[in-house]
Amino acid sequence: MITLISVEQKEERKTIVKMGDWAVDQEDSQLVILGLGSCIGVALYDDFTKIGGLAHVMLPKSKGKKKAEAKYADTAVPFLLEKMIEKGAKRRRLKAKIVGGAGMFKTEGGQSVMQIGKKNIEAVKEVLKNQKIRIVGSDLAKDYGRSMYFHLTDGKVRVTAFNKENITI
Amino acid sequence: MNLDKEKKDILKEIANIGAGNAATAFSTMVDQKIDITVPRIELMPIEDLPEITGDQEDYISCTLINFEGEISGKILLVLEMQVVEKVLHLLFREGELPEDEIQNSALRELGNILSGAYLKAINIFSNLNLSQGLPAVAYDMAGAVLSSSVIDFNQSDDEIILLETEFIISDEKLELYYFFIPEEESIDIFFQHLMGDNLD
Repeated sequence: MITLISVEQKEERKTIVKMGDWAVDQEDSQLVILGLGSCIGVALYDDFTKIGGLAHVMLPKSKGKKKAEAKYADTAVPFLLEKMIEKGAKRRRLKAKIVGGAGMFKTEGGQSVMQIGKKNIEAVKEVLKNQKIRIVGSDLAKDYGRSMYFHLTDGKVRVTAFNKENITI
Repeated sequence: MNLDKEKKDILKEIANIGAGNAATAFSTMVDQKIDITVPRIELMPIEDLPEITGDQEDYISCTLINFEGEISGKILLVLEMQVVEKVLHLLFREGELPEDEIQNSALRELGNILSGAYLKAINIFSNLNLSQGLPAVAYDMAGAVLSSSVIDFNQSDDEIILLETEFIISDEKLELYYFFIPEEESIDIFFQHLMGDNLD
């Protein structure tokens, strides 16, 4: 017996990537981060194989820590690369989209109290540059939280926030 | 982090007194009787913090206050937005709420007073003289706010202490999450002060 499944009927897998965690998947799948503040969602995509990877980066530098690779910008990108290549992605085809790095907390005068978002942005950009991966889309900094939905069928990233228009990068 | 029954009991006692102080201060501000429930103590992985109110996309308010002295760390006061609205109506009594900046200012002040009340209980119990920094606030998705609040933190085992209390105002429960997050190197000093020679 042959079963035919049309594209419309196929249900997209959805993986929520928590703080400091990562996921790699291929086509018909969605990698999601809910509530990004000063953390950064680093999405890497190979548009030929439709393999995508998402890391939920919390801090700029691992300072030599071996555990929780996805937690730090400097270890998350090489780690995600390795996992994607293992699955069949080609390094030269990978492009990056990055979201987050906001400054969430403000004092009386409206000053942002923590600079960690900004430092995360710098660190992620630097490591992507070192790995020669081009950033083709981003929604960064400012002072509000975001959720990101990374669709592996076409590599598009939808970004939502409270009281803001949804954007697609 | 190791939080045995004895340590838990001590924290519970502190939380109880802290919440009692906070309720008294709160009660003076809104001119109503406020009761508290027995605090719940939990040690939780930092990764679970963004989901504390139930959903990472819940709209919440969070007041963040740094404390320092012999030990240092952070205090977080977390309220769901529906609760914040109720609190604002209590603070401003009848009529319409004032403009956003005045609301924010009132909430910062409330955060300041409530966390001060807890800190005072900690000071008395531990004989540590801790002072608090200026409060900072954020209103947004729980995930975004809570992950950002503790992220710059030096905690190798990545666990934090949650003290949860409910305030009851005229038979209505207002859920208030209170987090006491000492820096990692401060935790031992903290319990040494609390338990003296009984520390194993």
